[in-house]
Amino acid sequence: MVSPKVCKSLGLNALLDTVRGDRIYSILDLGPALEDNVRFWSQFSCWLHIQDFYSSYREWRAAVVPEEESKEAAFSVLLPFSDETVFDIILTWDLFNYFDLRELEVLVQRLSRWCRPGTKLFMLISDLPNIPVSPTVFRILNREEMIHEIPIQETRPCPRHQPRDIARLMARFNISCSFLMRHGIQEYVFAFK
Amino acid sequence: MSWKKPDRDKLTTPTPIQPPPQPSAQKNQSPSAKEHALIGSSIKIEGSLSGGEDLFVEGQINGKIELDQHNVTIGTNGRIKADIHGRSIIVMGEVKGDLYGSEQIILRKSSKVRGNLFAARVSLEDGADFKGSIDMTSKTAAEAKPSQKDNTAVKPPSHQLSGQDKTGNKV
Repeated sequence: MVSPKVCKSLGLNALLDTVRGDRIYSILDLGPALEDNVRFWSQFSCWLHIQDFYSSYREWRAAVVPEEESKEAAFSVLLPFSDETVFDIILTWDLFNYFDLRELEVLVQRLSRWCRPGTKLFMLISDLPNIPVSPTVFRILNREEMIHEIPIQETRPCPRHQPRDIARLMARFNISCSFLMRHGIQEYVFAFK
Repeated sequence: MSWKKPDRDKLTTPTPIQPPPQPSAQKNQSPSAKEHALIGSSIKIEGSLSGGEDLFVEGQINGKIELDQHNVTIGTNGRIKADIHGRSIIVMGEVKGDLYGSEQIILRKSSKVRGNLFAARVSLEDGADFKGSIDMTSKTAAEAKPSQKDNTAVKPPSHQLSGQDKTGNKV
């Protein structure tokens, strides 16, 4: 069961302000495949790579023996792009709320392999004590509005990553902009240095 | 009072029922355009599949499907490990492979696809389990070249990145 909410997204707007119509973009979406988002990105000339990372990660965890579990191995299996791959935009949505800092270090290191100077990374960090048990689904309505489909059945404690931790984690990126939304979510747009 | 003898011919030879007039579009349709092949759920095919009619698959195919001028539909029971080339490709079942649709590709909500999509129009219903890349670079499927075999690890070919400054212009 989900509770859909239409929310303004200044972060998305800022991200899209940098997108020009005269070139081809390579976009990595770590969220699930959504009709609305595919339709939205189709207005740009782009390659859209959809990974549904969290569900893949859960499937992977269910399949491996816990003692053999290695985040590096998981992330290389789940994000198997070649070294020549370059992304212009990476959409991580609220995925970072579902991993601890050690896991995120591995994830960011892996994502950084496919960044070039200027690559944008969009993320949402929660400062609430609890978050839904699984990531929120974000549907892009237009360049400044999204529907947040929040799973409401169960919650889990939020790691509440602090801005200094995020800054350290994202040391190879600059913060292009950051907006605190009314419901305790901080939007970040990073640019790879 | 006169009585007119009934016309024997008319009694014994009923007027034949005329078939309803056919719409001109149907009259002009070639027989092959209406044909389609069905691969049933108990059929498993290993190898390359090509032909001159539309295809509906409920079975398994491992290899390659090449029906560039025809529609390909993968039914809910269909299990495909193959690249699919077709005019319009509709997926309701499972596909592991790249899809090349010269007109369109539609992923229904029951579909599970691991691969890359190349078509002028791509439609993806909510609930479709898709992981891979969608080419939205305004090229036709015919222009799109098959990329590396790992379906979820696609890098746009370098020619598609033309116009980007790899040395650091901002997005």
